[in-house]
Amino acid sequence: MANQQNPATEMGASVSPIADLTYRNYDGPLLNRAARWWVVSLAVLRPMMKNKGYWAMGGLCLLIYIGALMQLYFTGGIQDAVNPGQIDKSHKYASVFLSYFGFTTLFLYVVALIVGAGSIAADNKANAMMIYLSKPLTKGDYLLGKWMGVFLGIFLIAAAPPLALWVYCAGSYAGQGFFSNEPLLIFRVLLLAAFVSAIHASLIVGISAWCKAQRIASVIYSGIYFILGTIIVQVSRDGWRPAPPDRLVQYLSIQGCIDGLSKLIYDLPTSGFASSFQRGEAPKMPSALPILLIAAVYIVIGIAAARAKIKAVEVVKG
Amino acid sequence: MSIARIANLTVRYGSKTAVNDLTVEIPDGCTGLLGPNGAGKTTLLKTLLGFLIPTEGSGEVLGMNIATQGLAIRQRIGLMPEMDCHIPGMNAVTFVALSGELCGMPSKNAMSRAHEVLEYCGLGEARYRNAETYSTGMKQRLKLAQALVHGPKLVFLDEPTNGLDPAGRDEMLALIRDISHGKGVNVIVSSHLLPDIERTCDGVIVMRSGRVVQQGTITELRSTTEVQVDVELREPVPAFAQRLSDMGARPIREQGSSYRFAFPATLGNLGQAVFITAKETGAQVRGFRPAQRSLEDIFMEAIE
Repeated sequence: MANQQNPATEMGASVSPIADLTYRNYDGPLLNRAARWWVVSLAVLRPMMKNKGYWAMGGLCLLIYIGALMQLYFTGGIQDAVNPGQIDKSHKYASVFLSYFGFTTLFLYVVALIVGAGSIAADNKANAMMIYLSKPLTKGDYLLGKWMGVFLGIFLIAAAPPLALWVYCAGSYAGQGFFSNEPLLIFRVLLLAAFVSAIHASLIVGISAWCKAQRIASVIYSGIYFILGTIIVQVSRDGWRPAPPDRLVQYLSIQGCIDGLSKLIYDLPTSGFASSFQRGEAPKMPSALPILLIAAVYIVIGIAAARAKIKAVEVVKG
Repeated sequence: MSIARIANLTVRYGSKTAVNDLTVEIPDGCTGLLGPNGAGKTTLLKTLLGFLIPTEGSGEVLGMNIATQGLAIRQRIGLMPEMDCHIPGMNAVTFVALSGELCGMPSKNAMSRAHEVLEYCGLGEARYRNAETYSTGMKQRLKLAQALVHGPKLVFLDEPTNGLDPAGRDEMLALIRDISHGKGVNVIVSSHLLPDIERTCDGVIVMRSGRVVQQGTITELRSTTEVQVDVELREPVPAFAQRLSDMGARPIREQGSSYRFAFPATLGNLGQAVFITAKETGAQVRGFRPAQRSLEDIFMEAIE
């Protein structure tokens, strides 16, 4: 039947590999099921790579680090880029990275919205879950694939610009003790990018799973991000001054948790810029365990929320 | 040979029992799953796919246990869901290729195969269009293509002609008939549309209230030990029907002045009997022909 209808056959296009329009069974190779979640990740990453908004945010993050690079270039070296009296000399390079990371956190939140808000919500709207889960794929494969796609999307923007700055510093300041002072700096950059990406990816995927529209998921995540952030900042303030670094309540919000992680990972209580506004006494490092615990809670809550909602069929119990 | 064996299967949604102690063996080939709304057809398909855990009983699909081998079953099964569904933001060929990759096909093979099945399903010209811009008929074909891409041994089609115009419906039924006959693919079609089942399937299973009430090949179910005739009178004459009933005829249907009777095969010359009765009761016969038992008759008898 299909043979008669196809114009390609009528035109004699018999050389085409699809000129034979009869149904044939597939008897080719099949890949191992273990890496099938990666197919789901690729389905998240492919459209993301064509999203102009995503690359615009990446460009803005890069611009911020180009600003850092220009500051270093025009001030003649990394020693002058930070406040020498406030920052431990052995952490002067990390201080620059920490300072400029602070400027990119808002852009990373926007990247999370662009990459993650529609990740599962769009599938819910188009009933795509039925398509995914009618294949030999578990709920875990689907969730891992979605999470990893969103994580990698955020991680690329979070890690690439500071890595570019690191490459510049490595090339320009190797003779000024860049490697001897901060041998682990590249790992700190990658670890912080990974933590930030994991928190954003888990929460946005969790929210997206409960929504049927990308816009709704974006609004909910923005509400949680900003309202919780504002409340926590107000609660943790020390009168009219910002909270000191060792006051743990400020790390309860998403933004606060990311700030705390950045301080822990760069091993600095405050950034080079912020230190000039601090009071006279030396700032104390926040405790690591509570901040790591808060980050873990955010990640687990997000993933658990998504897992609870991912179903091939909606079962309404009578 | 059977493609699925189900024994004493019960599936409950909370306190509601959707499939109730169902025992059935589904033969290979093309089988129609019939039943009124709420009969448990879709629940049965979802259970066979491993989406729902049976409360009681057991089952096998293609020799694999439905409770423990859901992934292996889905590797060899294709599902064309009833609802409108696609993976958003993709054109048809990317969507079908992704479906193949989800089944484990290497991406190059999946893409090549996606082109083949889209051509086969009649979407060759439109395969680079975004699936969201497709008409209802094209979406139905796309759902069939994604179900076939990995070369399944069994395909579940849930209401495959929903929303199709007559020409589209004819083409879809011809596709279903084609894949289920001589291509090594077994098909289970769930539908409310009896003519669709009649045109595509070799056998039917009729369900009601979560149970199987009728099963067999369409030829077997149509056959009867009685002789059925349709008689059309000028106007309704109750005495005519009563007299024939007294002679041993069984009235099957009465619609205005049209009657269908089933006569015992031993009656002899039943034409003579009908015309004599008509003369005696003052009825004018306007039509008289042998009746064929349709799938609709079988269905209505089964669910009444």
